[in-house]
Amino acid sequence: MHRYGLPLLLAAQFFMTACSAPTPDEKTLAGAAESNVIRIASRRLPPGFANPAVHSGQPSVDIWPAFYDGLTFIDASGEVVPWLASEWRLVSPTRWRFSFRQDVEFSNGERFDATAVKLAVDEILFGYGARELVRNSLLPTVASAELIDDFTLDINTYEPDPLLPKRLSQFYPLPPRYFAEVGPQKFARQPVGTGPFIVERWDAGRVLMRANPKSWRPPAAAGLEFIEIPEPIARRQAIESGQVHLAQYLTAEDGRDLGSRGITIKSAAEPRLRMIVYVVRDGSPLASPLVRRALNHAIDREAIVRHLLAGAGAVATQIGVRASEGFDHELEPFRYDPSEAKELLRRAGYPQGFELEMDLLVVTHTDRAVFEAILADLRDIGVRIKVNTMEYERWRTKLLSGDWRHDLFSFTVALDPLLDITRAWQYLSCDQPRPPFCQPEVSRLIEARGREFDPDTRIAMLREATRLMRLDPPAIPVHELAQTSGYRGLEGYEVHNLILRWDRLRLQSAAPTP
Amino acid sequence: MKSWPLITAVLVTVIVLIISLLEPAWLESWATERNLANRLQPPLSAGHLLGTDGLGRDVLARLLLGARHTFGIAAAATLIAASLGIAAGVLAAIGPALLRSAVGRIIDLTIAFPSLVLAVAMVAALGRGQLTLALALGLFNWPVFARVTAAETRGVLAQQYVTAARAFGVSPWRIVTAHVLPVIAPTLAVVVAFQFATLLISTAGLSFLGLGPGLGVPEWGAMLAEARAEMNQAPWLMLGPAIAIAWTVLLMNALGERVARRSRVAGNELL
Amino acid sequence: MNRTLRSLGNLCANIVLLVFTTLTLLFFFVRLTGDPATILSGESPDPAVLAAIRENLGLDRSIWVQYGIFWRNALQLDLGVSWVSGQDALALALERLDPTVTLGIAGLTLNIIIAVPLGAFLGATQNATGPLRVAHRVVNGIVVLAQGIPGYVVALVLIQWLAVDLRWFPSTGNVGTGSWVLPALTIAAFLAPKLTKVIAVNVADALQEDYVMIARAQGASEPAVVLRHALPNAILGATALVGTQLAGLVNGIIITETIFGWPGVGRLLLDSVLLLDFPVVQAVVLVTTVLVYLANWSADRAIERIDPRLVQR
Repeated sequence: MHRYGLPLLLAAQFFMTACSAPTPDEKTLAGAAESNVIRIASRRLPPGFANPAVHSGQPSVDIWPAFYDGLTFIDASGEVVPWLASEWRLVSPTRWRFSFRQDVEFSNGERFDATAVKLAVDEILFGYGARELVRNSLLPTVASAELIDDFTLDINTYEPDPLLPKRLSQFYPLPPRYFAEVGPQKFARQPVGTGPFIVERWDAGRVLMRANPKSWRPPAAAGLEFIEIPEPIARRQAIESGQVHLAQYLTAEDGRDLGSRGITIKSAAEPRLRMIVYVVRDGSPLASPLVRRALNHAIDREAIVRHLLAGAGAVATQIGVRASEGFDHELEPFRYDPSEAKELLRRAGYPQGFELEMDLLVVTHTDRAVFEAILADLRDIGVRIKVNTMEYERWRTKLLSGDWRHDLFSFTVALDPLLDITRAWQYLSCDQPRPPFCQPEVSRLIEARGREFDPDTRIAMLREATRLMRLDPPAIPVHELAQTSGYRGLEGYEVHNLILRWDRLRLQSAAPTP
Repeated sequence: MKSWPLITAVLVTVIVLIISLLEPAWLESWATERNLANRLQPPLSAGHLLGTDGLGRDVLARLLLGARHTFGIAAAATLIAASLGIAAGVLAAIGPALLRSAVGRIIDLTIAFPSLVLAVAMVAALGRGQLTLALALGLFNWPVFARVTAAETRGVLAQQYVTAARAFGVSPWRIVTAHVLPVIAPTLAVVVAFQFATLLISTAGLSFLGLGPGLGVPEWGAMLAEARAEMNQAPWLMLGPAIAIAWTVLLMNALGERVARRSRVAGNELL
Repeated sequence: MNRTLRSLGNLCANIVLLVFTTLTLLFFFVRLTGDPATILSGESPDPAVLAAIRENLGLDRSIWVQYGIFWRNALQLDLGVSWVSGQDALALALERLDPTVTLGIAGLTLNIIIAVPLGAFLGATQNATGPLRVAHRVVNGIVVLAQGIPGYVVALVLIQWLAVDLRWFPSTGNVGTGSWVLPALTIAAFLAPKLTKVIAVNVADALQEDYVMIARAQGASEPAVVLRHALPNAILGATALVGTQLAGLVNGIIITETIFGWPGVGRLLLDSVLLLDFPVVQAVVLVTTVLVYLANWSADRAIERIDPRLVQR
């Protein structure tokens, strides 16, 4: 064998691989230029691909509405409006009746009807491989679904659930024939929905969709291409260099910098609250309400929002977010006053401070920075905290089983899509098997409100609960989150409740497809 | 022939290490003093030689404080790897043929395992923590020690005086401790130096990926991860930890080479 | 013919042993973390649900029965489904293998392209005088420095300089042509310093050999001597490094894929670890291990063909 054989062989192999492998970049670049495809830089693609029984919430809800439709829709003012479901009413306190549109087809031609909805309900409730996570967030109270006729479905719940229509805004029906044919695994890679686009390809880092002109809400663009770019720096670079039209989840600083370079920046408040929850046990310093208040006064929320979040976000004043029902807009945040905090500690009998242990979930770098600042603030008043970092799965298990072994845990609660403030409180309810902290009055209000259908009474109950929790805090609310996106060369960008109207989005120079 | 630059470098490093290990109050308060309004300042700004990090803390102070973590984990991993490796190597050299081939097979297999992959998997299974990290790194880096030990031990065992000792009935254990180990010690020291450098890089690497010690610990790899996140706002932030890591690695490499040259140790097998 | 058969038989035996050890280790690792059922669904405080999930996964049987079932499935190439997406774990791993292999080959090639000329230069100018000596010192200094800088630092510097400042290349692995350049360069940065050093040493040694002096005496020019005589032997000598380089390659790939968002198997591993998605972790570890072993073996066989004395067994 020739002496240089080995290196030549390697080089040859390299060139063969590089040249022969289809470069999707080139194909889509050329394709995009011709055919009006919008390129989007996403932070993360749905981990369950496109199977709605396997995942819910973000990041799935960022992409799925491009090819799936929910039964209802939550508009800009937070009202539930008809979508695939044309109307709904209560037949009995535990029985909702939904009627559906009759003019909708799945992209493979199958008719959309009540069977499709029932299939999806059954799949989430009983399907093999379906995840509890989805059932808990979408259909926690649902016992079963009953077909009444082709376009009417009854949903039975275990207990009265006034929020069910709102929840169904993220519930997507499944095409019965196709789903039965290919099974859940294959369906996840090649989904069929009723939405404005059809999924053409779903690879490990990108999803390509083309327009579905026969959809009941046909899109303005010819196609969408989602590219997964986990690094914030890279996402910024992608939009800056024009490689994508839209970049989601930019940092606030990026937004500030890019805004002056011809890129439209949209910042929206996310209905998410970052807080630290107290796990109160006998003998722990946290058993004293003075201590629980003291910690709330020790944290400089203002500095965190201004410097670490570049102003994107709002200081939390209570355990809820501004957009949620029952939020008390008059309430002032806890005053940042370390000396008062120390005084409260002294009165509670801890002049030297004390040590606590905390379970922490950090996902992004910003999370890390914010918690480091909080821990440093607490150390300043003498409260030393030992941190136990964990991954999302472990944290979630603990949350749902209430198995907290330490004194504090971090919780960034997402109140979308329901904007239901009690979603944050439910883990503190005395009904939980092992609540970290049980306040009977608050629990009673939560439970009563859950059964209450009159909006004014509901709001009064929520306000009362908030007032009680202010006097005796079960947690340290820190700040509300905000999301920044940037785009160029696009029109029709509309976001309601964090859901983008993909059907309205289009490239600037192109005329909307007829 | 002394090398003054090398000696100075070693002294400086040792002093830094001792300070870091003692964790004096002044260092701790210097490293934790923060000012959110003064974050991400470049090097040579007022009062901060290497600038400030994302929370306005002094970078130099954090580097000093964090030395014990990075060094500690790398040292623990090296210790684990060396202990396992030397023991295995000695066994392979003096044991019966079956043992020799068994150890040889295990070495081949362990080398085939991509160490970082398994270290990551281990951290997933056992949770984060300094001990897990040291264990994961040490468990997959012992083959080098084993190979060198085995080769060198065989070399010593072939010597005449050893054969003579054996003929006199001296126990193998005593042969190993009295004759073999002292002779191969310099070679092993060189391997230790080089492996320590490699493991330091791996420690910082795992920490960089987010699998290292917890929040707020100024471990150098974690500081690099922060620098990466803030690259748009503060591209200079990576200088501090990068220089610290490079300094340590180069120092250990230089030390290793010096000892190797002194004891006239052969080159290629130390790769 | 006999030798080939024997060598192939050896290979199969080793791979079987490797797969067996890896999977067994992983099987017990996963059980170490506690009850997988709790991880999957400890959500519902309802013990009936927990019991159903356990039964589904077969976790209610004894550990040895589970082990048996595990192997029965593994032999049918069923390593379970991802706990996150429900997709077949092995299929997921194999699907993302292609980008990783491409990146690996690109990185290795760049590594060779960088290290061989540099190493040859360093080895040849070891005892040079004048301007060449200065050049030698400078290049040597850079290489020594590069040995101390971890590859991921180099990646960050490259990104900052070439991608963000100069905008020559994209800083992510998915967008645009040329997106492989920076990741491949990063991988080369992991491997090149050591290879350069070894080649330099080998070239310097080879230049002292008799046949080189004879060539010089016959009037061959210095560059020709280096290229035709010293370098080939130096490269062959460096083949001892193949094992270490491949191991370093895998490590480098994981970090590089994470930094650049490259959709390969390394990033899949890290993501799955963070999501505690153990079936996928198992699949990736298995695939990587077998692949690395195969690569090592092929390299050894190729080296053996060139010069049987070089094989280290």
